[in-house]
Amino acid sequence: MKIITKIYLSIGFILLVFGFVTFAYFKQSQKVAKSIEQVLLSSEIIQTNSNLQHAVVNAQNGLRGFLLSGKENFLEPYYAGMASYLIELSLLKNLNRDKPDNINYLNQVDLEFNRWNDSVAAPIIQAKREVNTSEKARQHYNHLFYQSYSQEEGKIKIDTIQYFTGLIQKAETTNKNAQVAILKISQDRTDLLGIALTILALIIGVATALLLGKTIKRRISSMQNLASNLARENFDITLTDDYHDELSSLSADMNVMAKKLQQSFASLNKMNQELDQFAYVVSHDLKAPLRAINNLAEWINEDIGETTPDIRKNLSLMRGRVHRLENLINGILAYARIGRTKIEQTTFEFGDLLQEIAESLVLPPGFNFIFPTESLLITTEKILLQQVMVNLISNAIKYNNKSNGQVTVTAQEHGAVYLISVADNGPGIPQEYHEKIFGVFQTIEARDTIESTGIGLAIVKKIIEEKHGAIRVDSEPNQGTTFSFTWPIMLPVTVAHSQTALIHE
Amino acid sequence: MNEDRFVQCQKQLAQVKKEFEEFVYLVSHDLNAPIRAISNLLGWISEDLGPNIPDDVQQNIKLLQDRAQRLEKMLSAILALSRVSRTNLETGYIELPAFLENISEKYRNNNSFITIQAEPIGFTTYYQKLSAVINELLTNALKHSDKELTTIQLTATRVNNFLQLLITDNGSGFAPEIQERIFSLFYTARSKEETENIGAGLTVARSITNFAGGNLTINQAKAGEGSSFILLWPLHILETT
Repeated sequence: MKIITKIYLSIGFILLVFGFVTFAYFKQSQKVAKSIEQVLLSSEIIQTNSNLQHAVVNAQNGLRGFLLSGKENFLEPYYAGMASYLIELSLLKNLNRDKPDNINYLNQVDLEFNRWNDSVAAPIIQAKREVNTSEKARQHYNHLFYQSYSQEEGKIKIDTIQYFTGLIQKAETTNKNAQVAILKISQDRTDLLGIALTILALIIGVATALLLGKTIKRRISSMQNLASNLARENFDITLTDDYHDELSSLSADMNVMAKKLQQSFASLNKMNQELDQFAYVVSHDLKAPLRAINNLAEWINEDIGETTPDIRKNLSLMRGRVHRLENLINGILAYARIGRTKIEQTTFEFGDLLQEIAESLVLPPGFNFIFPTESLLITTEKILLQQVMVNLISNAIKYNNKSNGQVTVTAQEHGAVYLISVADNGPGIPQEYHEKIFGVFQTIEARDTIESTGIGLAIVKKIIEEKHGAIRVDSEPNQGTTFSFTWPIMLPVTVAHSQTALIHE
Repeated sequence: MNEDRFVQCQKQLAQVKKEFEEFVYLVSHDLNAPIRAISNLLGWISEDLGPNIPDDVQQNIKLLQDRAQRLEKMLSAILALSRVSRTNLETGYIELPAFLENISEKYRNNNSFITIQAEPIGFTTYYQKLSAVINELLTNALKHSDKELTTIQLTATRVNNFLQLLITDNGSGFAPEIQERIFSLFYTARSKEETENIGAGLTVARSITNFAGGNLTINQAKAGEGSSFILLWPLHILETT
């Protein structure tokens, strides 16, 4: 399975769980709202019911007061009770519209109340008002009063009302308590569910992250390992990965790349080896017949005895050619080998190098070789710098046409490089040759006059370019020639030593 | 980082290849002049000496001429090597066995017996290069033969996308330990004193084959059994870089 699929799946699952939690909470709050509505309704019913009871009691009390006192103003509570009864009853009927039981009770209440009002309250009020008009009226009142109070007809009716309202009260109180209990239970359940699912989602999330992280980390670090091995030119490592996901294909790509790198390094090495071998073959195989020619020419020279100077001259010329060929071959080999072999770096005094060179070259009498006066310690591949200096200095000597020839070497540090120059007071080089002289086999003078292979400056240029330096020539005919080149400043060979010195600072 | 390294490596490789060719060219081209000068000087010397000279001098002059010629031959071989990727790049349609018949015709004489067994195969290729390789292999077989009648068998079959050409002779063959070395430049099985060969023919043949994307090997169990070269030559022209 792909990593991205795994990530999608786990995140999707976590989201699903959270979605479920949210849905449950939503459902629950709907339920809670409904329950709260029920509770509120019950409370309101209970309240209104109690108001209704009060209204009934007030109406009864008002009636009693009037009957006792006979004063009209005592009837006010009765009227007020009547009015309030009607209002509360309609309110109650409205509140209880979905509760048939309560409606039934209310109908009973209303029936009883109306019966009480029509058959007890209204007639006795009428009778009371007319009590003093005639004896018949008094008797009628007394009869009614006796009926309603001594027979307790009115009280029974009111009690019935109280009974039914009490039933409503009881039913609603029970309902209210039940709803509150349900509310509490479902809230607890939702809390539990929410907490459980959240914990589950967290566990899944953390587990996924850890598992994915672990596998990915391990594989990425093995890739890093491969990469750093490649950087160290160690190609023997291959990644094995059976996950069949994106990292697997990346691993496969890296393996392919490593293989390709290995192949190109191998072919580069092979090519270099071939070139070296070729150089060797050329040197060895071309030199053998050359030596034979040289020897044969010598023998012929000895064997012919007395002869014309022409022959001697030609033989000498021939040996000159042989010598030249040998030099050419050596020069080509030197040129071919530049940059192909690793040379160890050493630290040496530049002046000492010049001294060695001066001793190895044959300086014509009167020739002046001027060294730089200041000491300069250089760390580099000594042989390469030596080759450059030997070629430049020997050129300066070889082509010098003055009786008091002179070559001046200067060297100084210039930023990250040494700036080294070799100046002579020779014939100078015409402008048009300034580029050409660095080509292989380029000599300005005809090859017969000076034994020069013309490869010296090509070697110089190639070495300097190999060291990422640059060389230039400044010269005018009869003004002498100055070759200047840059050579990189390398850290001294004792690197560890200089580092500790830095730390001490 | 490694991509860079790869690119760098490729660049280096291209650079080395270029240097290699440049170097080879220089070796062959610039060494030629003094060698020709040596030959010329020798000519003048022997002219000046006239016909009445001691035998040993005569002998030495002849040897010197040989050596100078050998040097020249060696240089032209190096030059040929350096030119493998630049010369004879013409392509054309060839048909077997006619192509092999044409080449073999030149080598048929009283001392040679060349038989050809080839599937009829037609393809477009660097025909001059293929011809050069086959010529070299035939020349090589005849040159090294120690028999009165040299028999050479050419067998051509199609193997996947390659033409496989077997060149088998009845010569003395090569000892197993030198079978790989015969392809290196200037290697001669016999001492240089005994042979006129400079030991470049097979090197050039293999270099041409490699350039075309093919393979040239020798397949032979032991010395004295005749040699059998296997040439694999692509039937399609490969993109070369």
